[in-house]
Amino acid sequence: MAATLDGWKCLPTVLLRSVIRRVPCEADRASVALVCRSWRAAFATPPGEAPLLLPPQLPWLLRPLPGGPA
Amino acid sequence: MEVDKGKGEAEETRKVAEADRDTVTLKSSDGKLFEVSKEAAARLSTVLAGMIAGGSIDDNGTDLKQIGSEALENVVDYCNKHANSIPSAALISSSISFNTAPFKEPEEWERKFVDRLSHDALFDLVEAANFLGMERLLDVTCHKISEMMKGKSPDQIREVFNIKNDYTKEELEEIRQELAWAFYDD
Repeated sequence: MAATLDGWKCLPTVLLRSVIRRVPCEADRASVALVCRSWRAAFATPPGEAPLLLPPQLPWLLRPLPGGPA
Repeated sequence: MEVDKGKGEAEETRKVAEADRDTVTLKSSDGKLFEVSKEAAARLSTVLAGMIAGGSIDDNGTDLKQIGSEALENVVDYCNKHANSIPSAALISSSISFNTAPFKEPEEWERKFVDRLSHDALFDLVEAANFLGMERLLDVTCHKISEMMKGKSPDQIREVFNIKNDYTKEELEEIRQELAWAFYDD
């Protein structure tokens, strides 16, 4: 099966982007970009789509505290 | 159908024919057969809806060579669970592209449905949902995967998804600085 051959590193970009769009916190999204090269590549914005790491999703005051709840 | 069949037998034949019309048989890449509600398959999968409408459904098992039996069993299970439920407004409006539509929160049973899956099974299911054009199932599986990322460091995410760090130390530092604005404290 795909999962055992290539693993999550090779999750198709379209699916990974779809997953990342469901992660509202910028710090969490940045962590995803730092996982591996192929996951970072998913952050390249295709034409007509909103960038994954630019729009402020949460007001600054609502950002998570280090060690606080996610 | 033979005209001189007994009433009971004819009734039986009619029932079987009716059952045939209500379901579709799908065949996994490893040759296993699964019965799925035709109505639910057409409602939940754009690809299956197209095959049903276009008459390219094979009564002996429509080949889905890209999907293994475990993933197909989960797809069919998901469709059949939906078959008996009244479609909610969320499902009806899910015909909008999943790339742009606002995300619908998974329902309780959908959460449980994906929570019981192994990581490998979840991976195969999200790929199968993508292949079959099942936007609602994509919503549910992508939501589950996103839950596995939230609130974690890159190291923790790598551990959850069993991914090796393929960055050099320098690259990692460079990207970390690029993205420094996103981190509260790093």
